[in-house]
Amino acid sequence: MIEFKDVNKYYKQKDGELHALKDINLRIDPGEIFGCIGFSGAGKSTLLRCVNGLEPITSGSVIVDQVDFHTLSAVEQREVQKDIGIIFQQFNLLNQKTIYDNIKIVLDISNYPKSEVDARIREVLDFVGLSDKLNEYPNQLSGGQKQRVGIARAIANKPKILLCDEPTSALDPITTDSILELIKKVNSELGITILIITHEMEVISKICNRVAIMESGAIIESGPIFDIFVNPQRPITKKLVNNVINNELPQVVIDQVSFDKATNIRQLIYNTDELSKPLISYLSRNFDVEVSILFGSVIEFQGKLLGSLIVEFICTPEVLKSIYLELEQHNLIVREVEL
Amino acid sequence: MILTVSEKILEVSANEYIVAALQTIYMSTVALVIALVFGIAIGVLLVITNKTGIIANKQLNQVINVTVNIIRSIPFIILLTLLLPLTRLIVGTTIGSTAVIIPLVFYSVPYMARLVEATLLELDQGIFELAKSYGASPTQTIFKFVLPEALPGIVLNITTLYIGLIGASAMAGYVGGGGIGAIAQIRGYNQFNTPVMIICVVILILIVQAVQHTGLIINKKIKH
Repeated sequence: MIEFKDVNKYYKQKDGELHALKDINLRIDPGEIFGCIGFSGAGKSTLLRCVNGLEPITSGSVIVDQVDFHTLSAVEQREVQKDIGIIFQQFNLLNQKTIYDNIKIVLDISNYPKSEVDARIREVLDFVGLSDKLNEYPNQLSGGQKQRVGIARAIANKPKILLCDEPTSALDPITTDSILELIKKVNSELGITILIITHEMEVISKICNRVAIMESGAIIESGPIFDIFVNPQRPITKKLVNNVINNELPQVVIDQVSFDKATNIRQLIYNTDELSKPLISYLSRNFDVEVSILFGSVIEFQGKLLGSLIVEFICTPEVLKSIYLELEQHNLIVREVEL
Repeated sequence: MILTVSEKILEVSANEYIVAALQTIYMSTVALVIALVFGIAIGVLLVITNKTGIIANKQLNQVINVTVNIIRSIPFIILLTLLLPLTRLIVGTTIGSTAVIIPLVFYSVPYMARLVEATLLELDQGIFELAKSYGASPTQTIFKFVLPEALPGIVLNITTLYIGLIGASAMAGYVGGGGIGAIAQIRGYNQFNTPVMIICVVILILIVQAVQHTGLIINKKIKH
């Protein structure tokens, strides 16, 4: 649905050029929710803005719904833009217009059939749960409600793609969850492909199918989120993953573990399937081992559970080996722990 | 011959004040309407042609910028005489209230342009981004997005401009343009008639107050 091919972008600055996007190659499939995460200045917003032409690119191509967007004329680009919804961190609602007119303006520009405009506005407001706010003005709404209007506006013209530029960064955690639910509903009920930009890994973990991690203009890692969470490669990815699921031993624990025991400390990573099995008690019953749990966390994402336990096995090296074999048969990931 | 205060006041009849006030309002209002059209257009051009604008154009922007600055640098009293040939060409005469409208327009167009420019730059620049994202043409961006959002601010701009025009029109007396200012100057100041001068100033204050008050009320009413 969206494809970046060798995309580069430079910004002219006083002292030379800033390489804002470096050789970006990325494919976002129809119907998926794709997340892009990075710290500020990583280039993720620029990436999103290249999809709908808010930013020009320097080289490469961005294919949007089978069209090479940046080769189009300004007038042709506008036609494509009408089929791409976008929501913003600061909502960008028109304060002097009612909620109704905020949505109407987009339909007017898109030459939506005049006789159907009214019904469509009511329909999308109903979808986002704001049917009763039709005649209110944006300043009478809460942040979460404003973003709901933003979403209603974005889907009004029945786009195939929805771009979300830090959609929850201005919202509190509870409102964030409800907006993410709504974005998910846009995806599942309307089949709209979604690209979401954020600096919060929690947002990614809650709704994305795949994720790309960006650092200084380049995509440094990408994949299905489960893989990224289970097996983050780059330091930044690990840092981001650790914000949601803690894989690192806290100092308190490290202080209590003597160095020679370190060889027997392992991190066990497991998902929903293993959750029902009483593994720890199974191990101590069937092997000559005592298991001490040092640290652990479980997170839920998208109906799946992902757990991380850091445990110490008190046993002989031979027993340890057979335990590893046993665990791997149960599809658990066993990993050494850096102290 | 020494006149008492009441005699001095009677030098100018109530009817003369009314005619003069109407002349002041006539000059200012006609100039205002013309200045609105051109002032808003030029103000919008200043914003959309600047280097982050939707139709960035450095040359055009600089030409407009410098022209606006040059006209704004000329004191109104000089503009009055400087534009006499042009006024004769357009109006057919250089005397009377209608003749003063020409220099008033020249005075107020660049003034309004700057006021509108400031108002538009004060707007959340996300509006331009929003318009572009949804495929709005530059014309749609200005007329459907930017100007409606700027309207409450522009109402205040109009108020400020109108008051500026009333002030400037007081100098019309120099070229026989009439108005309250002319009475204050010719019948009051020049003839050492302080009471008449004070009455004129009070009338001007009342007009200015009324304009300012109306502007604020409209602004409050339409702003959401």
